[in-house]
Amino acid sequence: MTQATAAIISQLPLDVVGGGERFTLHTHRSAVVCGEVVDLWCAAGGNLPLEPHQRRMTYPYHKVSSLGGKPVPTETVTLRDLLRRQADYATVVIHQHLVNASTLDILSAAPPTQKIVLTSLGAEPIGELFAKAYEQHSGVEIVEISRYAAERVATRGMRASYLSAGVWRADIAPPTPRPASPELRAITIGRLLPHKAFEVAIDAVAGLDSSVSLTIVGPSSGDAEYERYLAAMAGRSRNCHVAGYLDDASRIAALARTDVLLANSAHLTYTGKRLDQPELLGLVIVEAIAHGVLPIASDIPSFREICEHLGLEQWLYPERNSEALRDLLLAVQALSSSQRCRIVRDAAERLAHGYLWDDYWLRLTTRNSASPLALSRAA
Amino acid sequence: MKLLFVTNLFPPHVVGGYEMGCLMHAQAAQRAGHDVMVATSLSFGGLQKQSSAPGVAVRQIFEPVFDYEFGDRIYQRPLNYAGPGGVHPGNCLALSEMIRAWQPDAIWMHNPLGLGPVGILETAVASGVPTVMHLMDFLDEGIRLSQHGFELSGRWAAAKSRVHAIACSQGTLEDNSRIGRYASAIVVPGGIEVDAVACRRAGDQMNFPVNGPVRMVSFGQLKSHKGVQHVVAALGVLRTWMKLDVELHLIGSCEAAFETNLRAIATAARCDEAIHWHGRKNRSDLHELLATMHLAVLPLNDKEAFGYVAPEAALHGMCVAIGRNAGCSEVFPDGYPYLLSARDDPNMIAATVRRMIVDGEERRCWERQLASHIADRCDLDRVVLPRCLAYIEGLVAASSRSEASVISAEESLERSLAAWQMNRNLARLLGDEGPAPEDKQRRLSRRLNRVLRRVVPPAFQYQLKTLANMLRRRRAA
Repeated sequence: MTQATAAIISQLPLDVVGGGERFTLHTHRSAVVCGEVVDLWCAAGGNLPLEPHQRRMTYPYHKVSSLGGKPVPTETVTLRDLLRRQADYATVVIHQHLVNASTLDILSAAPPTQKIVLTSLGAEPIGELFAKAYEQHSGVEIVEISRYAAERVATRGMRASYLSAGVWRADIAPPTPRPASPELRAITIGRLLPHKAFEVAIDAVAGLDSSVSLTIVGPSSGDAEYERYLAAMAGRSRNCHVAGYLDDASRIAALARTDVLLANSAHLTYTGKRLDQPELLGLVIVEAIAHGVLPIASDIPSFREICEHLGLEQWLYPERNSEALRDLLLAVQALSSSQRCRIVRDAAERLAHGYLWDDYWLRLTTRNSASPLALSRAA
Repeated sequence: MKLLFVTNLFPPHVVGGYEMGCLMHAQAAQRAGHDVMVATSLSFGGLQKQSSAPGVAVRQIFEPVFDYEFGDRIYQRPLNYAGPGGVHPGNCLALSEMIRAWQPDAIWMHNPLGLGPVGILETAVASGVPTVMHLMDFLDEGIRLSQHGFELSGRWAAAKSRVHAIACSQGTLEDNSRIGRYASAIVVPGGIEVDAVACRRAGDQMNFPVNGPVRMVSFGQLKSHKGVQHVVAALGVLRTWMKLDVELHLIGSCEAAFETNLRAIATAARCDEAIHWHGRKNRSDLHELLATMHLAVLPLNDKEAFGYVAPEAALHGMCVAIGRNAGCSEVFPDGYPYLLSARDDPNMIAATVRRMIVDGEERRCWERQLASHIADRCDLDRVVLPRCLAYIEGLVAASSRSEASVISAEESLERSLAAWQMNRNLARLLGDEGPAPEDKQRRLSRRLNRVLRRVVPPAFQYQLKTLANMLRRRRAA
């Protein structure tokens, strides 16, 4: 068996469905496609963010095989064993590095010749502690998934760059004009979490006539109160439907059947709680374009970044503003099928520049680590 | 060649053979016309000092390594938390600066434990200067045992893979391959200055016993892991059961508590009047004294990387009973009959000594060939050093042809220190500094041992241990 030269370590388990986990699995696939012999490791779950060293050393990690589809653990080791084996890799990519203090153990155990890349995918329980303990050096790069994410890191005094990806070239389907119809089918996708602000979409659609419908797709997040709140809201509306969890294929099929995707994430939740960052990238927007669906997104920094790159700024609405969203839905409804297709096709062409998984691993590993990591896209 | 020796302790500060070995290599290399510099640590506390001056250029650029007053192992009482198995930034910077200023052709590293060995090795590797580790102890075991509050075994293995090794025995090389392997390695037995040791006794002394008792010697560090207690017990067996007129000469430093134990064992074995305590002797006096001995018993344990004492005794024309698995046993001839398979069994030691005494023919046959056999393998100036230097010269020549490192020495050092600092930062932020608390089982066992040592007489303790060892061997058999 060929000795792996690189490792991807996810500090969160990979057995749940979410944007972060998908990003890790796609990164692994990208590495394989680019010809790297790479091991995929992930935390087995249940590891507390902050524990004394001796206890951290017993944290279990799975070696995962994911090429057959669903990630399957093939080997389980303790963190101590993983650290001992870590030196065998020339490159180590740590995803979700702000989830657990053991990221710092991995950084400490790195030989000077090893290249380490850190990518946070949103979960940040040890964000502040990491900023205090992290010592910048040329062997470690923080490569975030968007300019916005990299800028956030920079505000904590750490040097970071960014590199985005969200779609395989083969998955980009050219939009096909649909028969003229007064109906507008909208979809919103994501884990049922308060910061996804599904209620804004429901509110917007509920105020429109029955020619506009909304389907909410996404797995449960465990926040039962929010799920009840959403169900009640959707129940009051004639044209809203909560579909719940769909597997990848069904989700993509459902997406492809619709006319417009609504991405509503917001800093402020329905309870008034303010979040530092609701999204770091917005994979769902990229996926929508790839499948020929026009996205409408809330104007949060990461969504704006993607929309600007794809030439879709006009489809941004102020976050949590259901009136503005309603206006945009009406504007989409007013577009002819060919107009809509042209917008999506233009955006899809731009996707190939900087959002492809196909060359993501090469872009990640062939960066010039010696140069100052200004906030520049290494496309 | 400009040879930079790196070692944790260097004479006059001495714990055992590693320091003396380093001194001998440095002096011999200097005699052979090489430019020698030794980088070592400052000393602390009552570390025993040899009276002889090293006679080579020494720079004490590293921090003191351990508190010798409270423990005889570096990882037991380190003065610096990172010393035994981590990174000591100050020492790394000192070594880096030394290399930059002195520009050695090769680094001949001896014992880096206590200096922050991972950082020291990484610094040496980063410098691009060919580095050779002279293995005379089980360093990997020391590194493994000291991974508390950090886990740098992988870094140690990665650095090792770019370093070459000279091991004093095959067993030592194997034991030092537990955490990764060296880039290349050769086995060269420990070197002895044969001319200084050469047999000084008259030929008729070999035909013992002439008048009076057989003089049996055990020398070096008188510590329990050297098996001296088994020799004392064996003396009792020889005298009381086998009715042989044997006396035991003990030469070397001995801690007071251990001496009390030995005396108690001797009293219980009814042989205390046959033991002569000589204390520590300088090299010259030691050799004078050894020249008057008839045979040596050195039941060195399996963890003895080499054990200079056994070949030194053999060079004095004595037959030596030694532990079968000690490193030095590899330089004894094939078929040598006095290797102890159970070095902790007084009966076996006594039986071996009895055979030496009773079967004079066999013993004399071995005595005649032993000294020259050992000299052919362990002569420092004629055999050992030329082999070591030829190996190092080969590495220097090869390194000058190799490509430059991907990252500079400064960058590598910066990465090494930054990585270590992150561990320290985290420990401070979590209030998790210092060695890990002992686990419950070990704490209990230590308490039990303390109580047992207070309550049970030393001689009875020894008998219990011997019995337990015997049972364990039988079960294993």
